[in-house]
Amino acid sequence: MARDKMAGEKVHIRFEGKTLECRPDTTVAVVLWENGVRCLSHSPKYGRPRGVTCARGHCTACLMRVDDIPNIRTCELSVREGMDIRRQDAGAFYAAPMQKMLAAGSAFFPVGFYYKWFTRPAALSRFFLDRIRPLTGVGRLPGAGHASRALPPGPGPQGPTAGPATDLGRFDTVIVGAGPSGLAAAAKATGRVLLLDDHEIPGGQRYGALRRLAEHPDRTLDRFGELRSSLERIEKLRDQFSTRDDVTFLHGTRAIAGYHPDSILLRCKDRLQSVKFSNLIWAAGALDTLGLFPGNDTPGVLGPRALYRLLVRDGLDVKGKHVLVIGGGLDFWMSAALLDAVGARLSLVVTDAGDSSAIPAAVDCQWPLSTGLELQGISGKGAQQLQASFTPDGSGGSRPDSQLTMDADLAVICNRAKPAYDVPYQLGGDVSLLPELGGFTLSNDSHLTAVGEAAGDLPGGPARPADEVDTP
Amino acid sequence: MSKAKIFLCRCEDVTLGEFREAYTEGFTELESLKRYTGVGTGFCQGKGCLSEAAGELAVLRNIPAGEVRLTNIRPPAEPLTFAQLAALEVPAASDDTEDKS
Repeated sequence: MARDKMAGEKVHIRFEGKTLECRPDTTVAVVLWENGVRCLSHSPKYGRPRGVTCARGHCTACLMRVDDIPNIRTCELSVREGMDIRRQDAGAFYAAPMQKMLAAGSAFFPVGFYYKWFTRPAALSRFFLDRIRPLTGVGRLPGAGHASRALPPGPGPQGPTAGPATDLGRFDTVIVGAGPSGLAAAAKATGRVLLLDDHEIPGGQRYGALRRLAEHPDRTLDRFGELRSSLERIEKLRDQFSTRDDVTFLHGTRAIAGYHPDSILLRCKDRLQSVKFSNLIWAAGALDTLGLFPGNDTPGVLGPRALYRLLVRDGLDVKGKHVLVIGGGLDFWMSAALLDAVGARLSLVVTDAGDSSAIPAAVDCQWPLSTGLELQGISGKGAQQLQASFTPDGSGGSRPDSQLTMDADLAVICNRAKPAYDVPYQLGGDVSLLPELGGFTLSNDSHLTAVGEAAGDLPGGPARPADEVDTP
Repeated sequence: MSKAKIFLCRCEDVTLGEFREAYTEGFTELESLKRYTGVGTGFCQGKGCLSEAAGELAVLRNIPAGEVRLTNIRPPAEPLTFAQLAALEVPAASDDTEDKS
């Protein structure tokens, strides 16, 4: 998905039967967005429109039917000539009235009736399933005759074919995540070391965005000391890492399961691999927390990490679009700077009271900025716009105008992010909820160590006092 | 706008109101709330909602957040196809794998 491909080269995809001409170097979700299609799916129960949200293949919002195969993560799928893209849900048409009917007649519809009933004879079961599943909001089955296309390359019915090994063997240390903390851990690790990351290059979730800022002629980065020092720290770690030819680096790979205390399952595109370890260093970073407010599922509401992936990895075009950035912290200023650099129109609402150090720099950049507001809710306004409403939070604050509602094309919500925790839990790690550290956090033990944002640190440095921070 | 739904779990369409209602119906552990409301059982396997749900439960029960018992988060952390699993060559599973409960 390199950005700088030959300009002018176009591919054609079909969306709901309509042909769209699009650039070839991005994802299906981004192409649809740029063609005015924000709603990629409808939610199963309420039939609410959902748009790309995590841009990382985690959530349900971007699941679509591609070439008749359902449940394809379109936020991670590159466009290809001739693709047939359809919404897979039936929620938009059936959800509200049908679910009311089903609820009224619940005595006649036992739990799970849609997969229990009409299973015999086999020939008829498919006919019924194709009709019942949409009614219950779970979508249609894959199209007939397309089953073979869903298979990734791998052992066929005739037995394993020659291919890369799927068992990577044993490593002394496996480091999940090649952001600053993962790279710092790799620099100290000895023995056989494996480092993996779902990005193509080491540096972490912010590296691409920071590089983009550094290369931008406006030199916005120089005004924000914290961003500049983040980039310098990452580049230093990357330089250090480039001399370590004894560390194996797997790109485009993520840890997705721990079935056994000393091994994890990795996924790289469609292929799974397993690896054993003596020590696991969990540096998987944190996930966006959008927060609990009315309309928090409105298409166009994103977290900063999703924004970086959409703008930097996929090259989403937001030139001239009005973007509302709400919240505080490093990611707030970084989102603002990045959006400014790619030509978006900004409105900033600083809701994090403790975070005012960068406000003079923002004023210097002439970004419209409001303080003293609390987010009340966001709602969709037409298919492509949203409206955010605020109330004064009582602290006074300043606003360029007295408006308490703001229209925007996009809203980026920068809250305290939540540490990734699932695989360490599966490996037997002791995980507990620490809201002051953003969410579930792992208590480190002898062979499982969480570092960086995955341990609840703030981006750019530890949240806890230095003496409490464990070093691997 | 105040009437708009607040979504706790987007995958399974569970609103904050439904979660609170389930609590008042007597489901006071995250595990039973998960089974009753569906929170955390969707495609993202709780990445989007479980810490929010646990935080809300701590408030409802008026207990420190650290005392909320987590649900059992079984592998894999994201949906896989049978084809992906079938293509994986792994040594036979050993017997000492135990399910945490």
